[in-house]
Amino acid sequence: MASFLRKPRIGFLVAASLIFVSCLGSGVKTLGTKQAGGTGTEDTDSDSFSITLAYREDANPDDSTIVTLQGVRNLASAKLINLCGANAVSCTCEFYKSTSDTSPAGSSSVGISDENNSVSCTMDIASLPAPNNDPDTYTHVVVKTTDGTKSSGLIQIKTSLTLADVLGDLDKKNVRKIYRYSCSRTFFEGEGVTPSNITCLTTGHRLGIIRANYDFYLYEDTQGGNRGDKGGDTAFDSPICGYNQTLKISCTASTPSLRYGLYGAQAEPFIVAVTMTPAPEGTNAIYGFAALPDSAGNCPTGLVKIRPHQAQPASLISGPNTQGCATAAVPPPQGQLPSSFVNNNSLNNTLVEESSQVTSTFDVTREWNNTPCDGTGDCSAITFGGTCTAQTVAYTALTPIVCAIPPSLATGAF
Amino acid sequence: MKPLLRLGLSAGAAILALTHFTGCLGSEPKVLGNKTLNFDAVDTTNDENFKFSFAYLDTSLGAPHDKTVTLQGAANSRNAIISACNSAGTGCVCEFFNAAGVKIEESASGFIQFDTTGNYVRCSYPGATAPRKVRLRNIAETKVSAIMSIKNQPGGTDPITIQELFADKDLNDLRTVYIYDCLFNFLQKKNTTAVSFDCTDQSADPCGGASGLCILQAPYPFYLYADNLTNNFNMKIADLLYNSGGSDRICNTQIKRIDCTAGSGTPKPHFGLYGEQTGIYQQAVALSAGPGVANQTYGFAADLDSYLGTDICPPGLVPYKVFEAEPDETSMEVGAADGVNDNNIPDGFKAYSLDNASGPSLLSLIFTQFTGGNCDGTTCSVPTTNNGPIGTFNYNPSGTSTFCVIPKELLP
Repeated sequence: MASFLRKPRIGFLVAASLIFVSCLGSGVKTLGTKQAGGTGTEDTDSDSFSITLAYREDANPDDSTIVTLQGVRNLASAKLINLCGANAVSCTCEFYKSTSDTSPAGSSSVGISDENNSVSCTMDIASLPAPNNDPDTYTHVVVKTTDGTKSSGLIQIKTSLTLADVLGDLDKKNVRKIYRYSCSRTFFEGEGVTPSNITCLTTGHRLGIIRANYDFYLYEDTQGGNRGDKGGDTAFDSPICGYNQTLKISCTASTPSLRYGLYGAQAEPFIVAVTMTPAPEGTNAIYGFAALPDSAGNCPTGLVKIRPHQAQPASLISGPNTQGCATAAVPPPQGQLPSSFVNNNSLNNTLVEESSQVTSTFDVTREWNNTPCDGTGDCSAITFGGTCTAQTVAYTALTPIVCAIPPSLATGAF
Repeated sequence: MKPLLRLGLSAGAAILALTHFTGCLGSEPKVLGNKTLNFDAVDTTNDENFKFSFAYLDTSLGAPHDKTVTLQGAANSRNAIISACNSAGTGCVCEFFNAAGVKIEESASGFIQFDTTGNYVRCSYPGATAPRKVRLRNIAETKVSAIMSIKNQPGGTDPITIQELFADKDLNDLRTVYIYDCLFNFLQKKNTTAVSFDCTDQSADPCGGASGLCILQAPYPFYLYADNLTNNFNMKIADLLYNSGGSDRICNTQIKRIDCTAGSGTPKPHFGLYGEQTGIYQQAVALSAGPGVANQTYGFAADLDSYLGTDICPPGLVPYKVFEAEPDETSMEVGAADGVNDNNIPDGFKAYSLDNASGPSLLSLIFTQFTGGNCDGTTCSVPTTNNGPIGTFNYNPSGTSTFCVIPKELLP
């Protein structure tokens, strides 16, 4: 369960004018202090590009066509927006197969993150014949102004990064590792059941169980974090019509797994506060800060997109479209009993994950009654006929989309 | 008859009224205008600014726009285009090329026009075969643009992408509008009205088969929005129960009054708007997120403009308009007509659909009957047997104007 606090975007500083000089042509040029291989120093010149590295993710997804060029951080004269303008309308990229390549491929879109001082370029190679349509073919990139007057020179495209590449001058000790685990919640169905209470009936009382797993998040930092707030097992306040063989909430069986990293302090480019909940009936807290995508919708250098994904299950009650169990083994009335699984949006489940990591569905299961209560209001001896899946709910990807530190880099922060 | 459920006075009915009694409360989708022109700070007449982001031809349009090629000016290019072509665009000509880059024809006099608001040039090719590339030059042949490939509509030969359409914009400002349905379960039983329902046994005058209680179910569309930074998905409910006296039951039975999870309850991208009121995106589009939710502005659409005497959307956009369907609740009476509707469908309970103006995908509002329910005086059993359609009511264009949106095929 998670939500976001939005911070107003930091305004773009737009250059008041661009210098138009004679065209330098479209050939490969190395200008200023930059060197092939992205090993440029931080000597900067407001009239040229100051790029520290270029990066293309070559896994997850494989063969990404997006190359991110990281500008020198925290230096006004190195601001890429001064050369590329808002939304990078004045910049373009060229992709080279070697340092001697004279027929570069172009870019189909260019984005800019002023907070991160990076530019992202998407290779325009889909329509090219093989092997020129393979992003692995291209080893170098040039970013330049569309009028050709400024160019970064050839920058080697890296396909792996370190945490230091991603954080720049930020202290890696402020990275927070975000973990996810789940808790099983128990609901009831049967005569006398309402969302808020259960009446113990003396006639015709069948009591069944409905279960669903809900996800929660924890964080860990150099000071410890809140992993100690992980939920445990909780019993009902009192037996349900004498039945006491199930827990209200059960979390102990779930082991938290590392999902990604956030930054523990609000510092560019990590400017969006992310709030999450540690356990059932827990309190929301800010877990850290994420970055915003750039103007082309791409994450700053080396970060991965995370977003909320929500499953909204239907209430399990009688009526048309009731989702019972699609199995002949379940006796009537399939899903036609009243239940406490009535979703007023308190029964939704939210994951904040990379979309590629949301591969499962949100499932609601039923254990249907086999031996009813004894006719005196005592349900302590009820038995169940089996378990079936009453609902399989797909997750819907929501927004905001923000950018987090990939787990492969976050794990080495401390 | 003892009225157990006064829908007209209940909280539930208030929700219904807020959503659909548009004649009183005006919650139908709205498009509100507010014209402004925005000129960028660095827009100059320099030759270097005689640039275009993309060229576009929608080959699916009818004549004359099946031959209308539009060149979208790049950021800060407006003054340079006006300097070269004049504010009407008549000082320029389009040159058309085939796929090999060989010039095949030019636009004729009277077949070129500049739109100062959208900063685009429209021109027409005279031949029978669609060109693949185009460039713009002034008649004096002192200024000429780069040769550009002509992009097409989604599904066309060379479809445009959202990155190309948003070349000078921030994709974080693209708003995706989602559509989803909520199934309304209306109660059908002899002597039921919009404001009263009771638990009496009416199986002697059944609504279907031997069933004294039926449900009339119909999908009503609602809309959500999301951009890269925010959304209103938290306003979507899962379902809502008939709730007599706060018991979450009616005649001792849980019955869903509204179900937004079944059927088409999963939101699907429907079209795109721009998150800020700027440039061509001036028409505020206000929609409802769900039953009982008042309209709010979801984003901004563009106006149609006129070229060669007929309306056309700015390049890359498609025309949408509001359609409405109103059920005739009197047509779903039980037994002989007696002036009582025998269902609790409120009068004038309209459904609204925002759909493609030239070819809507949603044609009618269909009521499906579920039978098998009955009441014994105190308790009702729930109808669950699908008896098929019982009423079909067409969506017709409402009075609001046509506006231009980003087609769903381009949405990320």
